[in-house]
Amino acid sequence: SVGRSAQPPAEKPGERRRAEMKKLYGVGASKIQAMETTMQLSFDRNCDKKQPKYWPIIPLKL
Amino acid sequence: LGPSSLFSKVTANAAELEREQQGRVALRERYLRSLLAMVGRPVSFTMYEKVSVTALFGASDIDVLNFQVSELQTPLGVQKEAVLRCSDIVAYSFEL
Amino acid sequence: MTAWQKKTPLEWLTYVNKEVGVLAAEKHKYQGWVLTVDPVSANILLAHPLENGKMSISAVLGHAVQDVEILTEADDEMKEKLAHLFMPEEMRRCSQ
Repeated sequence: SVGRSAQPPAEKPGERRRAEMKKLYGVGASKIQAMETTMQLSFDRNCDKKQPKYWPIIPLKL
Repeated sequence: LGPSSLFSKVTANAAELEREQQGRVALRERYLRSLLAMVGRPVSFTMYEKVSVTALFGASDIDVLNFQVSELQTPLGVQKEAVLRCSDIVAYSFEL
Repeated sequence: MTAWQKKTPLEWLTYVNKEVGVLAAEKHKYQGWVLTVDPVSANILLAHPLENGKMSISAVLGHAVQDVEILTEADDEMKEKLAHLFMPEEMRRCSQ
């Protein structure tokens, strides 16, 4: 059965982030978001490709 | 409060918000540029518990919670690929 | 959250272009010219000129910052130097 939780969210996550960025950075939001997207893509791509493990395995500080 | 003083209060708040936003943009842009400048360079990390390591910087996630690095020189040898938790790090440095 | 992490962008901006001493977790100490404070992580980015003409760049992570003391204000020459550190080449030419 299709419950309420299976409904697609009314708001796309990207839109929410754009609205938050606009509030924080005003007219500069799109510039900052573009730079951040580039960096996050590079992080995700490197992690996919290289499969790095956390070091140290256990956090030093909680 | 009369309408005119209410108006000036609203515009003063708007100006203040705009100044804060411009400040945040300038600060964030410079920090993001420094991360880009760090890519591929050897970086020394001072971590908690008096642990020090060096590695080639790869990338950071946007929330600055994790650094992806390569050729991590640990006290126990080299780990080719690794992710450092920023919560474990006290400071890092590199040369430009 | 520490007092340093709770500051506003406009408060962090007052540290930019100042020479500061930073007291960090586990009694680590750092000194340098403030390039920026990342408004997301509160990481404070410092530049420290080296004798070989290069710049040493250090960042103290926001969560590890315990105290920041302002020592001096940069002169115009130092401000220029700091402003251009992470600029791409073409932007550097345009702004000169």
